Amino acid sequence: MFLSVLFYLFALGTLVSALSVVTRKSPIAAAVSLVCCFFFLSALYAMLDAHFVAVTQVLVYAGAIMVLFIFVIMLLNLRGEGGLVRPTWAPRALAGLAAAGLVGTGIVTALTAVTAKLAAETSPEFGTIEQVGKTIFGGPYLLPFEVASVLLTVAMVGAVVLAKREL
Amino acid sequence: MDQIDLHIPLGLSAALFVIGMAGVLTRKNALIVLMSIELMLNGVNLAFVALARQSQSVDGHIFAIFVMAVAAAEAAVGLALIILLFRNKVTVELDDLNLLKG
Amino acid sequence: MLWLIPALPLLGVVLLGLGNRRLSRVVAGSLASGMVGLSALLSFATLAKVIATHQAVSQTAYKWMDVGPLDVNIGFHVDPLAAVMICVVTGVGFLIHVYAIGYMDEDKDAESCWRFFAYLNLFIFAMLLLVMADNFLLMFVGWEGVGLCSYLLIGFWFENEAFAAAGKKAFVTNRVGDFSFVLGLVWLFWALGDQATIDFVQLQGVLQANPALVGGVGGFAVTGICLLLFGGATGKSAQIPLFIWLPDAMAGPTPVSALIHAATMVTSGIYMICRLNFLFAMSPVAMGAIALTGALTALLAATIAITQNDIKKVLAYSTVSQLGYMFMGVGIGAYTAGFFHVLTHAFFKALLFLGAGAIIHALHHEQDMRKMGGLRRHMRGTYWCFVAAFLAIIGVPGFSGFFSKDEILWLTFATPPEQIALFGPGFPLPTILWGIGVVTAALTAFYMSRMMFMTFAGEFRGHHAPHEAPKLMLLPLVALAVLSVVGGLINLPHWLHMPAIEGGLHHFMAPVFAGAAVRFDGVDPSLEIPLMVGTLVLIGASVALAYQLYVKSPAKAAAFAERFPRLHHGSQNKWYVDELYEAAIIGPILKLSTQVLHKVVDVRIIDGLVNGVAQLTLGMGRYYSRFIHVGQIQAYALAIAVGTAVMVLVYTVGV
Repeated sequence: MFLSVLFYLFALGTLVSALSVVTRKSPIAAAVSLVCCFFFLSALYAMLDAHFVAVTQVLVYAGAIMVLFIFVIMLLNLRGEGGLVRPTWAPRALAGLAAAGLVGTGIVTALTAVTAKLAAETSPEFGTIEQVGKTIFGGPYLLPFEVASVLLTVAMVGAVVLAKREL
Repeated sequence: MDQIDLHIPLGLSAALFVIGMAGVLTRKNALIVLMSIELMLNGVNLAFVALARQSQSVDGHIFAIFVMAVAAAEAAVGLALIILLFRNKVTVELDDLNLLKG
Repeated sequence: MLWLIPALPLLGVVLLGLGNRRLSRVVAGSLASGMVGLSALLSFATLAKVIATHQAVSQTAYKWMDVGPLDVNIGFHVDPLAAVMICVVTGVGFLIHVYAIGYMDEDKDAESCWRFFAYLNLFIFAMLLLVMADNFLLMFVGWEGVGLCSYLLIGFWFENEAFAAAGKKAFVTNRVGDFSFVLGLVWLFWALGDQATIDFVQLQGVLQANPALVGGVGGFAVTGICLLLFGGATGKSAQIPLFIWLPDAMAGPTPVSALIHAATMVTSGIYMICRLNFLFAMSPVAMGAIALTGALTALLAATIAITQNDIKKVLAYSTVSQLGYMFMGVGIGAYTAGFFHVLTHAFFKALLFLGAGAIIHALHHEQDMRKMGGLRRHMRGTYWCFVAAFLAIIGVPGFSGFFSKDEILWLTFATPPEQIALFGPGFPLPTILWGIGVVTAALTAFYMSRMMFMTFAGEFRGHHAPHEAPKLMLLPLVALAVLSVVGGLINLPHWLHMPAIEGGLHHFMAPVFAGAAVRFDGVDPSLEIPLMVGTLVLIGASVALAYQLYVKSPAKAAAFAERFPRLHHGSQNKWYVDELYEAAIIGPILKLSTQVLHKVVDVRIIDGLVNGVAQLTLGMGRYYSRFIHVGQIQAYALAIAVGTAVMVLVYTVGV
């Protein structure tokens, strides 16, 4: 019971902070809202027994990516601009919202077919780092894992090269 | 936890995705657009994790981790591009970037 | 091996084309003559076979097309009519080819002799197709082919603008006739409905079985079809109203005039009518129209010929006039007589032209008779051959022309009026036609005598002394002279009372014309001899008059002409027919074409439409690119989003 309420609370939090990201005028406010959203999401992951993913979410997303974002915002010394809609009835803005709305409708309609409830119990080592590690290194995900590491290296090199003052 | 419908995490995932899409299509500031993209990716992650719990297999988690890795790479390169852009045009507002016009 | 007969000249064309400038006059000429000669041998063999077996020889070489009711083969059907014709075409053609080797010895022609002989061979090929065809469409291919070769050969010396224009005139006039021919053919095909066929043998069967398909005897459809087909014949065979090209066609080399415009191409109209005798016999109105047109053309051409000074022009109008006789013959239904005149005319007219060519060649292309004279002493061989042809054409008894012309005249007189009821069954059209024929015979004798006297009698009035023609040119003349003399033997009239050898051609060709129900019993048969004698008297008088005017006292001729200046000038200027056509038809059409059709319809409307469409596309592109190529990333992202939305909706909601 208590857990369910907690779940709903975290979900609400995620939603509110996500909306906040998209509607803030100042980029810093948006970034901080996003951090908030990530924390709530991490909590949700933990409640869904995805322990490793929850930790990684905080470490990587909130701890690295968002830090990078905030660095850049401060580096470029950006001020805020108009919020979500500027001017209110700009056709493109409306079109964008309409498109998003349409997609949402579609997904929601698809969801009406889903009637199950969340699974009750999971095994104790479900979602732990040991099980995840065994599945990656013992299963067919070994190659993609290594490729992902190469990808990260490439991205790193690329970012450095792109941002240099003189080549 | 077994009183919670599967709708909730999946619906939240959809909501996150749609909100992120709205942000991508409407905001002027390039950085906020990037952040909205991250929001979309997170929505997908949530769906993966919830369904992984349903099917009792960690494959969904692994995929979520890969998504995070790719998001990190993409954020790095994207921010480098924005810095480059700012250096050349002293603006990160997408309305002003119209060299492709015509 | 029927297909070899037209194939050999075609092979000649190909070989000459491949050899082109490398072939000298003699080599090219010998090659061409050889091919035609071989064809001639095969033709005579075929004729012998037809005579022996009393049956037509047929061969289908190739299935051309089979589309619905239209089933066309490249097939040959040589019945007695065709057998005789191919012998004439290849035989006379061979003689003329040989003659041409000697004639075309000018320096300016040395490089283009191969082209000349190639065209000649092509002509023989087309003419053989026309004659041997077993269906309308193949005949039409040959029909068009001879028209094309006529154009090519008339305008052979095309550097001369006038000659090229003459070739063009011939072709265009022919084309008008061909249009009429095609209309007739299509109408016939359409009228026959699901019995439609263009094979001649089958056509005869269909029409005999149910003549009601074309309106029965004297019906509107069959009359219209016959008149349209005859329209094509007037173009090809130079009758009123499309005869204007033949005198101009004298611009071509004389062998061309001999072959095409005397012996073969111009007779294809008569051949066609003989071929389709069963169709024409069903329409008295059309037959009367044909006969009347022939007679009037004969008279008109004769009145022009009496004042011409160019030797080739005299012969040209003489050809038109004699063709008129042939049409009169087939018009009244005397198909054998008409065709007999085709044969004899081929001999003596080709001879006349080739002889004229020898004279022209000897005098270095002088064609004005006023500058000739006394040539009988300088060119003896040519002179005697000419005499043979002269006696034949004016109809002196014993020579070939007499038998054919006399038979036509008598049968015209003896036609029952309802057979050619153009103006109603009671109208004495046969008598009128006969009268026109007799007057024309007198005029023919007059102008031919005039020509003979001006050319051969008296003293030479020109500059260079002429020499006799070379052997190569003289031998064909002699051959044709012999034929002009003895050609009459193949169809002797019955009043000679020699039943063993009389009417040879008539009996031979009887199965071809069996389908046409014609009679010649309109008058008392005992009138035949008196009428013939009367005609001969008139002819003798004409010759005597010409002798008076052109040998005894030439000044009288000039004085006579002075007395009737308008008539004289009118006749000399061919009654201004060309000028009339120019003013009434050609001028307005040209004006319509340039002023209206080109300037307005072509340039403004059609071009405007096409350019307008292009401009419209450009404008639309320019307008819309303002909205699509904005250069803003989020616009492009929006496009992607909309696409995604549609896809999602389709997959989830099933829109």
